[in-house]
Amino acid sequence: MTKRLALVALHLVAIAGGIVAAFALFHATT
Amino acid sequence: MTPGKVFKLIGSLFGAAGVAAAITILSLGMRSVLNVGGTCASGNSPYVIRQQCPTGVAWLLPVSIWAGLGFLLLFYLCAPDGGKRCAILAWPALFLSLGWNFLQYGLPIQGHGAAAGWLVPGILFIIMGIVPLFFVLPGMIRTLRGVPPESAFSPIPKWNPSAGFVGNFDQNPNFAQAPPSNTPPGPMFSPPAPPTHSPPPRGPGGSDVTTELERLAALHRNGDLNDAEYESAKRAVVFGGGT
Repeated sequence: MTKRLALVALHLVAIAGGIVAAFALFHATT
Repeated sequence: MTPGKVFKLIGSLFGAAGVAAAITILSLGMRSVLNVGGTCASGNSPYVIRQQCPTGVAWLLPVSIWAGLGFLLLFYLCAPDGGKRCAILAWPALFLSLGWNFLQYGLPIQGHGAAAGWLVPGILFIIMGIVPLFFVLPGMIRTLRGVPPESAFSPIPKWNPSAGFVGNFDQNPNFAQAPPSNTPPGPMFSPPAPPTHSPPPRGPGGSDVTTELERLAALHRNGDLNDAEYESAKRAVVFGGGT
């Protein structure tokens, strides 16, 4: 359970990073 | 953790981040197009372009679609078995974010009147995004809690015309030798009982073990029994002890 939660948390951090990177890329491009 | 697992974890993380980034860019690009009226064009053309697209949007949108699909494939290939089903969440994420954009520009909350042309796709996209969540979220929560997707102890038995209710041991004649329902339940994932050396019992209705096994195999092939139920049922028929 703890390992699964850690994996989910890790993926949520990655998703948040992806969203922030997308905002940065979009505003740098447009 | 083996190097292979590390690579798969990194691939899974990159896949999830890439899908999120692609959907975010799609959503931002859509908003920038909605800001200029909802339609635009760009590039060299013999026609006169009435509304130029915002800078970069014309190539960002198609690239983000294909890159998002690629990242989704990467996530699906690298995610562990229990996590692969999370890939389906890309669908609600896409349609809910785009649907919210339509609603925001359709409802009179941006200093303009309601626009039915945006409201209709907005409501449609929100429905398309929400409905799948009702089907996939329960299974994901079960996976997160470590419960198999379709437990052999599921309270909802499946109906099979030839075998009656399948999936609930108390009601299935194949499990007549399982402990009675008033027996306190044992641990959910207890190891299988060691085989006994008693002679194989005869199934209900006078059919022999081979016939029962063939029938179970047919049910398994048809998808009426999942792997766990099939193994349990085979043990019940062969050893007469159930799980």
